[in-house]
Amino acid sequence: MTFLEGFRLAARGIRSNLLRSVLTMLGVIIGVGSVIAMVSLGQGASAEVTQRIANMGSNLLMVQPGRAVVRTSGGTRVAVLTVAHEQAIAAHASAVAATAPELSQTANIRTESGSHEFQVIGTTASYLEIRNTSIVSGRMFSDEEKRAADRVVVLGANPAAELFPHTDPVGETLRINQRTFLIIGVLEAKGDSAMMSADDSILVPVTTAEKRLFGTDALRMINVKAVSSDHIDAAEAQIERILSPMLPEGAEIRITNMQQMLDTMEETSMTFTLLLAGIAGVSLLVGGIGIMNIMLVSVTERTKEIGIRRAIGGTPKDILVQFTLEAIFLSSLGGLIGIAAGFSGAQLLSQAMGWAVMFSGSAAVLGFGTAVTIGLFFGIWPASRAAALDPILALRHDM
Amino acid sequence: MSIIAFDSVSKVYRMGSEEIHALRDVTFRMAPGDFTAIMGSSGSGKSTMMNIIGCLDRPTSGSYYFDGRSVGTLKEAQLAAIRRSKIGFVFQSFHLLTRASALENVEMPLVYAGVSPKKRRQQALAALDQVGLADRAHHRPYELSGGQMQRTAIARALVNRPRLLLADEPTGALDSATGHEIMAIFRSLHAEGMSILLVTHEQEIAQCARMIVHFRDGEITSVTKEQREEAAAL
Ligand SMILES: Nc1ncnc2c1ncn2[C@@H]1O[C@H](COP(=O)(O)OP(=O)(O)OP(=O)(O)O)[C@@H](O)[C@H]1O
Ligand SMILES: [Mg+2]
Repeated sequence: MTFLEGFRLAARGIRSNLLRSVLTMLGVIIGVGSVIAMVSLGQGASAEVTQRIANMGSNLLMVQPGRAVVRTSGGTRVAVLTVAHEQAIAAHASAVAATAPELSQTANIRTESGSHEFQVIGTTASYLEIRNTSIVSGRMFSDEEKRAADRVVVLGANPAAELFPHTDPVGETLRINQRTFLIIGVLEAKGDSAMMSADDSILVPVTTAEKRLFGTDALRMINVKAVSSDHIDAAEAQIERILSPMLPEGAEIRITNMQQMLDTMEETSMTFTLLLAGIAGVSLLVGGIGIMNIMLVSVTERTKEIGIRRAIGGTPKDILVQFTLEAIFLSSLGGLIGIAAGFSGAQLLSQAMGWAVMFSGSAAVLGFGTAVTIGLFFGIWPASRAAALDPILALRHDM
Repeated sequence: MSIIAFDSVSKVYRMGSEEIHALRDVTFRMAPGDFTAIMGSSGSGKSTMMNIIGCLDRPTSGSYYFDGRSVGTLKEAQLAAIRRSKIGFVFQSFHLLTRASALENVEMPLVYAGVSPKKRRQQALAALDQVGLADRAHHRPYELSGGQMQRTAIARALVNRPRLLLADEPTGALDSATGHEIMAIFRSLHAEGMSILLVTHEQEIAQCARMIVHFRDGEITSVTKEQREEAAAL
């Protein structure tokens, strides 16, 4: 018997009991489908995050205090990182190209249209260079304004669109924590919606944030741009050396660079992948056992058919091929449906929840391959039982 | 050379501690082109003998040569090859696949023989035509009468042009008119040179054969030969 003939027989066997075949495939469909959906969403998410980090530039470092404020032995509270530290780095670290302080808090923003919450960042003009962004309308604050701690703001793309949907915000005013500010510029939209994206921020001069808004000089972070990505380690060492004598006792700082963040991301996505593999394994195992179960039932039900086929000249191998192909047919059909269901499920989820998706061909190939293997693995035993039947006893079987 | 040669063949079924001797030391020969009938009471071992001759079963002891070839040493796949190319078997209870049409049932031996779809359709239709069932080719077995099912089974046995046709009570479930139609088919096949071995309970059917073998308790008790010629000579 040829392979094609066996395939035709298997297809026929499945068609003759369609409902049962579909129910049997369900395990594989769900298994493969959920893996495809999760891989698509997972890869989408990690690609998005990686993209954001790459957008910010891989030669970026962040200096952050362990705690923003510490209490000295004398009992006074002092800020761990201040503008003085930032300027020391800018002045003395040769591997550093630019620095920008961040004195940020969430604040209440009021316009004629209503009240909103946004992150307000006190910084300097070099923030633009470091965050790889620029002004699309108006201008950045000047040194003069910084020195005078003027009440001027530059809006990120999102607050600009949200607070002033119909007009150019430049020249308008808004109130931050009950104080009136003049809008002098708007940032370009990066469209990366990142956790630390400039898109969502409202920028004010760091001096303004310190004196007129938040009443503290404790920085959340100092952004540092190294001369190049090869200078990251040098920059880190220099920053450490410059800052350590300047820090109040008991204070700690943490220096992170983008490469480290990327590594952490990769580690997280690796864990995620392993978890997925585990879920996939379990659901496919269940699907496979379902197929084995139904094939055993089918062999028993069709004992007489097997006897007839043997009696008129079918070899044990012919019977083995017929039933194995039937199992593989079931599981691979389930795999194909699962791939389609997984992709469309991921698509629907991403549209409903706004998540990123990325469809990968290798996931589809892997899903299909696994389904075929499952069919072979769990089908071969019932099929070999069918092949081992004694033709005479099988013929006596009624049904 | 004989097409069937049994040398003291025995078949013993063990049921727990009990031993059932279905065949006891049967020695039997049949020449190619012969038409032989086997008679005997129920349970005397006729079907057991047919199954061994049809290479579906193996003797417990003794040896069986089919067409000069010792069957005892053959592997399952080789036995299957003999079944599909040299032997046509008409079973006591039809044994048709209920999910397939008459035509598909008749085609099945050719599927295993590796005949191309187009050719096997032709051959199967020809075999159905030979048994007068061409107009029922696309009916399922449950849409056929008993005689039509039996004729489908005969067409299936014929389709691979076997050297030997085995029929286990082919008329047992049929009325005598239909039985005669079936026997007419066998007689014409015999006239074409096919070797035929059939089991029957009916003396009238057995008369068609050139030799009648009588069975009792797994043993051959008597062999009657060339009745018709003797009768004609008288
Ligand atoms: N698989 C088996 N296991 C045990 N005993 C069996 C088996 N097959 C047949 N027998 C026994 O062997 C004996 C011969 O059986 P067989 O089927 O050859 O009879 P038969 O002559 O064909 O009878 P009938 O005319 O009723 O068809 C019987 O006693 C039967 O019970
Ligand atoms: Mg019998």
